[in-house]
Amino acid sequence: MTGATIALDLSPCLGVEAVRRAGSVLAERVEADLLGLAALRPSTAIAGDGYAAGELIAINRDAAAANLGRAKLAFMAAGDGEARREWRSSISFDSPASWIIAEARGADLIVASPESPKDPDSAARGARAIDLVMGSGRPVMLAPAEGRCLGFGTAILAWKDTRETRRAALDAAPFLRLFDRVVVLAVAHRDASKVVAQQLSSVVGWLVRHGIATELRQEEEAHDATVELVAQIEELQADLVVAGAYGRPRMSAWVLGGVTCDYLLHPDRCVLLSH
Amino acid sequence: MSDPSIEVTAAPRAAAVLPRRSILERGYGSILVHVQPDAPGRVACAQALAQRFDARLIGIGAEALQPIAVGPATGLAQAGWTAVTVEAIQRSLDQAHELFDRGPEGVEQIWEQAMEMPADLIARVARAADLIVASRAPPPRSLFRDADPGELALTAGRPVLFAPEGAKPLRAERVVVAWKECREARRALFDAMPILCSASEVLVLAVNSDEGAEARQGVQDVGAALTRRGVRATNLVAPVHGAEGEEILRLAKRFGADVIVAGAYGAPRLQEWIFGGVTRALLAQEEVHVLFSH
Repeated sequence: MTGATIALDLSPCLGVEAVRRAGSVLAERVEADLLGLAALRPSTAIAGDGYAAGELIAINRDAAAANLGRAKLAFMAAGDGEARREWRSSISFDSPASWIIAEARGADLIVASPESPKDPDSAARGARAIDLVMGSGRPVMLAPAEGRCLGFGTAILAWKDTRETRRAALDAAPFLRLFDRVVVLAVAHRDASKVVAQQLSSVVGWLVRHGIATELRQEEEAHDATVELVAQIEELQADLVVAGAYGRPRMSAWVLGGVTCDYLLHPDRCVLLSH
Repeated sequence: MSDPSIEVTAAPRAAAVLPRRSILERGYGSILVHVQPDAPGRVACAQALAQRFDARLIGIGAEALQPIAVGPATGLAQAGWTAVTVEAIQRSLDQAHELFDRGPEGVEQIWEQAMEMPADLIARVARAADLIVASRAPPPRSLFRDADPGELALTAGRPVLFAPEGAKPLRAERVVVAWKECREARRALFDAMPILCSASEVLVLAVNSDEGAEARQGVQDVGAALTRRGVRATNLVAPVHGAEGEEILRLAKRFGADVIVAGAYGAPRLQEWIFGGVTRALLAQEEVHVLFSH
């Protein structure tokens, strides 16, 4: 036992199995305890008179409870490793994400599923991934249902000199220690290349201080920084991408570490985000 | 059982029950401090922390040239004034460097200086640090020579230890976590983990104006997270009506804490930052150290 805890958002959804798997792999690797969390908002579709609506709400609540019961069973049954497991769940009309965040207060990391538009449970889950990232104050790992399983080969720190990236780097440092190869990657315009090179080398120096040997890689921004970043991630066969998340809530476009949210919120491999 | 060798082997086994340090524990690898000749307290605090946590210490000297209004007739005077000011800044930076170099043996120290706004240089160098130590130098203060600890806490993307110049040297034996169910406090908790894990007793404190079943659950979970790491932690939910910041300070004093771990709350308004009530209260006092995260 080391005192470390990893919280898993196991609210029923398409990708929940990937979250459970990534959580177990990580917990075993770092000898952490696992905290399984699930929160659902009962369906509020109301039809007919009040009496019928009340009954409908009760039915929906029961359905949600059964759903959560199954989630708990699946989580506890997977307990073949060393990790100690604890389960908490909630059915409430309040924001499910806020509940998850509050319950994960003592966790070193939250693992969650990226949002999927195909997910039939998405209404009950609420907009989840981005809320967890922006509101939790903890690093959040998104483990995609389809894509690379979490391995410990190569990790990429996508660098951009913002408060959020600095924050992400700080939060991610302990996790970067687990990887065979760590690359600090910046995609920068030619005019800024000298400044960025300086930034990268000081980041590398800081990581070395944490016992993490790091390579640095700087790509010139030709057309679109996102396209180039994704190409690099592909080329390096990264198992994990670390990035800062910044943005203003209620704006239609989220910008995450200078990279459009499209990739980071719908990744093809595990990503670690901090705000 | 009469064999004494059994007892000898028993002792380490008992010790092994204590939680091992998790690989996820961050530690302070690098600490950063803005050095000013008239604020020696913060430098001493940073140096002591670097020694204690085996960290590298980055000292920064920064002071910018203050522009003055120039009319056609005063051009010459301006040139002369600039030369004099540059010289004064250079002298002040040299003094800062000297003060920094008087640090303790055995700590790896790095010095960086530039004629620019301290807040700008600190924010830039912060990426190479895990913790920033800050305080307020005696007045008069200006943006050109001083970096405000509160603003640093909100903008640097790093935890900031506010080390008041008037405070006694930091021991961090007894520490208070000022808990509140929000992002900043959650972040502060983990940013402070190296300090919390080396404390002998920690009080997890929530001051609350309502009944607070949620607050109780909060401090319980935080206390449990600390206990799992082998920290002696107690919880307290204190009812308060009115000034939460003052109540936190009062209870911290009663507990005998010399450092409070807290979230930093604030938002930018035009030219300046507006701080939350608790943050303002914790920044306004000169007795207790405060570790802020945002």
